[in-house]
Amino acid sequence: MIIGRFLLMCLLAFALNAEARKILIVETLQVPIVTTHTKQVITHLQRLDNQLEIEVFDGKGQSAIIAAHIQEKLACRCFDLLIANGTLAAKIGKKLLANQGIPMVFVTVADPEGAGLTMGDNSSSHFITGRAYSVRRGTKLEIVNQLFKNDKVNIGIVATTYPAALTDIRRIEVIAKQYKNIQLTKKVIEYQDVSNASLDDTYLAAYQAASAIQSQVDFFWSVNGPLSEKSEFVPAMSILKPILYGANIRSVQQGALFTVIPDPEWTGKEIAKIVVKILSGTPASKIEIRSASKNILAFNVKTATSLGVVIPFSLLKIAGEHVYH
Amino acid sequence: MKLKYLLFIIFFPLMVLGPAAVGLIAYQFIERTTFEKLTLLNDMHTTDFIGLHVESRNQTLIKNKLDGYPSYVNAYKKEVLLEVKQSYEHYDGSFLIFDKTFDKWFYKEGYLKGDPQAQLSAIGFDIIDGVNVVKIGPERYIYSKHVFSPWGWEIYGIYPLSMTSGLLHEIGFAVFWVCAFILVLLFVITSFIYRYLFLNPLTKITQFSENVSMLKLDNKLEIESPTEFAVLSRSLETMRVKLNDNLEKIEAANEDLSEFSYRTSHDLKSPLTASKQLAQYVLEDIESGNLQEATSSVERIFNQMSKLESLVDDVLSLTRVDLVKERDEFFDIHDLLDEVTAKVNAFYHAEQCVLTMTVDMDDTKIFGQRVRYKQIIENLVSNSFKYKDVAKKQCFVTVTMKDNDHDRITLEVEDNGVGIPTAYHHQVYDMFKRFHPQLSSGSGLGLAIVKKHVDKLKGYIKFETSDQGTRFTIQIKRNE
Repeated sequence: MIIGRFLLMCLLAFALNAEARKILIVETLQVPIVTTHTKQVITHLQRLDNQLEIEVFDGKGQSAIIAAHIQEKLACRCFDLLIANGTLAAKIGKKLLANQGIPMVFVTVADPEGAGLTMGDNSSSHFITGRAYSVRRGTKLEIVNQLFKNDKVNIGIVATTYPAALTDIRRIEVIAKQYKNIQLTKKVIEYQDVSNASLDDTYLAAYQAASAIQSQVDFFWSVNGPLSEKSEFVPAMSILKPILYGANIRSVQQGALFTVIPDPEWTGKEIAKIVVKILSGTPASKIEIRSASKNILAFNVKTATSLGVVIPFSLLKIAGEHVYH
Repeated sequence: MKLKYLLFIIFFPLMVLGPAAVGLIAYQFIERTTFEKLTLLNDMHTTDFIGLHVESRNQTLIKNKLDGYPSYVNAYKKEVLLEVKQSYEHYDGSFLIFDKTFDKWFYKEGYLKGDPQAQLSAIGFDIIDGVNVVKIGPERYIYSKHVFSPWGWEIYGIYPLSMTSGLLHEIGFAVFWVCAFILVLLFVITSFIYRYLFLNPLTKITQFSENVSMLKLDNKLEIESPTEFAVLSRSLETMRVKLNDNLEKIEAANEDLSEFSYRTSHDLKSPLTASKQLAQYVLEDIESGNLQEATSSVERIFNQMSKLESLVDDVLSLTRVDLVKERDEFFDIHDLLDEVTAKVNAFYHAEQCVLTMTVDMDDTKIFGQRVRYKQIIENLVSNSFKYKDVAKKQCFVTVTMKDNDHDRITLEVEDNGVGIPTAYHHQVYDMFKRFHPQLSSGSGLGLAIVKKHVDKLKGYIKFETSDQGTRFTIQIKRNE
């Protein structure tokens, strides 16, 4: 016992005296879910190892900006590990860090497989691991079914061609076929991230598309991607029709009926543990890529009552403190 | 009646009545506690149901400020009513809910027999043996009632009494088998104990007794437990050993007696027959006027009678050995030897043997039976005189008394007589044995008498003999 403690102290002293490791966090776009994840990751990383130097970079949703910064940091070997927050940042990070000997951990990526981040048959992703930002689509639609019982529900989906959004739409369409009372109507807008102006144009086009289909639908649905994550999304779309599913907690607070998302705090904790593990010598390929193990279910009761929807006890109980008025 | 049957008759009712009484009391107790436990269980079940389904929903509504929304309250009530319709896999009870607002009963379809609505409208509550019972239609149920005011509900958890009876039957059945098992176990144990502690030892003792009654004394009796039988077996075994020893002694004594009777009769008859014949000759000689012949015959008759007298004296001496009742007394060995010398000289004065008495003792006073010592010395000296070797120039007889070992007295009688032939060494102390009948006409009882006296004195006798003479050595423990 005494010898063990002594050794631990020695290791700690050694660790303390060792050179501080540098972490680079690249955010695709500073939307709430991305920034929340960044905040949680930093909090838990500092709790686990307060000697780490952490830099956060906002990619502003533009590939070029993201790529340039990573390359710049790569040239000076100014970071030991990259945390890619968002699908776009993860895809660019994968491309630039291949064969560089620097590991990458992704977060807030809805479809890692679709984004080419999982190992699959090739070993080019052996330096990558992370946590998928996804909840089973079946779960979401089942909640809809419980809320509306067997009433007919017409859902409108307006999204960009952002990869995560496309993947999300594809999967929801497959599952929605199992529910005869759920109808989907979709509009997809080209995602242009060349510049801030092009991004704004993208979002404008999206809202216009929503207006075009509002008469055909009862509700709008938030799919993965930067459009849904924008803080203006719910207020803007709610003018047209209520938002059935929101992208995050803030969406629910703004009026979306419900959301179910991976718990950001839990995800941040898991990502921090993965980072420390990799920095301690575990290869990234040895750490399994999977979804976060804890989710949050949130409801807006005011929206529910205005829609005449009674949230079942079982769901309200799961939501716990995430019930908003 | 055999012991095992007797014990069976005595103990079997106890073994049956005992577990039966225990079972009856246990059943009564279990019946009472079963009702209590079921009531408690039912109450717990109802409380759990209310807590899990009713109160939790109400709390959630309150927490989310939805308790004022009728749509939510009604929707959650409906959810609870759906739960009421559930079946519980390991519990035969159910729930009834009376909604005071709507004056309506809610229950699980199919649970209540007959027309539930009609029966519920005529529901009857009662208390039987301290247990809350409700009668719904033909059935009676244990019930637990809770009022949930926020929703205006009366919630009843019910459990059918008929199932209770079924349960009690099962318990009774189980109790019966437990008692039966106890009975069998008791029976086996007592049988084992009885067999091990009683039957086996008694059988051994019985067999032993039978053997003893038939004088089969070779088999030992060994019982180690229980202690009482072990003590008895040891006593019986001691008895067997002593009986065996005594039997052998009796048999030996019988043999001796038989031979004694035969020899005595034979030796007594011989002189009598001869005397009778000689008397006849005397009569004939007197008739014929042959006085000289008659006188000779009378002298011969006289000799025969002397022999007879001597034989009778010796027989009496032999029998007196066992009958000596003289107490131990102090006597001086010198005085004893002087007496013997005087008697021997008077009797054998014509024999012209030199008799020497030597005493080599620190303490010449002996504590013992004087008559035995006297007869031993007299008989040994007498034999030495009788069986002197005439071929030797001078016969001598030496009597020596020693006490080299202060615990023992050693008596030696040595002579230079004819000795005892080797072929007769093993018969030296037998009765009526004479090894040189041509030298003496004694009865053959002398050494037998000496041996008996030595045995009575708990002494030891041995002899050494050859044609040069004989030496008898006797050692007797000196009495304190």
